Amino acid sequence: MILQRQVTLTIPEGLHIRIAAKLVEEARKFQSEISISNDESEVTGKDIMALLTLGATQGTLLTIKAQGDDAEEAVIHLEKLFLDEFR
Amino acid sequence: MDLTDFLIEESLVPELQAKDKEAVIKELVRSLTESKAIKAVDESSVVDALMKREELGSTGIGQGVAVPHARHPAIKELVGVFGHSTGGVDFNALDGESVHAIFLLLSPVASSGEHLQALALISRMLRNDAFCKLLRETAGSEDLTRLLRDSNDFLT
Repeated sequence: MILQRQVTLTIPEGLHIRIAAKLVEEARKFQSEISISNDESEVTGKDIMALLTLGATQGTLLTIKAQGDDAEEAVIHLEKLFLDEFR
Repeated sequence: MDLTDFLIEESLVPELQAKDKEAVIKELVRSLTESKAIKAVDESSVVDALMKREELGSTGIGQGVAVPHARHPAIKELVGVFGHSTGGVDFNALDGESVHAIFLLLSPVASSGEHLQALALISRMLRNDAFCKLLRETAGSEDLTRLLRDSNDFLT
């Protein structure tokens, strides 16, 4: 199963190290393959350096994609993280 | 943007003397002061800002790399310095490994975009195996400057 959701990055500092680290920590809780993409590239959501290559600033539209048995739980969980601004 | 847009070449530290996180940060900031990238009067508060950021969570992003960073009112445009440690430094990195390559970044209080761009650029370089290999091989030598100047050639 492949599922995807779009979120707008609302954090003023953008996708910085602490946010990327948290995202990786949460993404790794799922078996599914997880990717995050902007309009230029798609990278794994389970590697901090990969996420930082996006250089995503506030207002960037990001796509969360999950493929695997727990894809649905994964996209819902990760979308909520973005909506809660990782708090 | 390329690495030498913000990494001060005169401040490069090919072989760090310091062995722990705080001492490494101090050594790199001292190097920036010596090449007049920051004023001596600001040195200790810049170190404080960097250490305060580390308390929020390590900037050791894995694979032997750390990116200590802070904003500071004395900084007018993004500046950075690269330091290398053959022996490695304990940075409480996210993957638990010791750190050999340190990119220290200082940004003005107001901006965040440039800092993210710099982080993205550094990360893109470091995901290139050829660049990482050359970085390890040239880190202690004069060739390092040339590698950093030509680093955009490694972007795919």
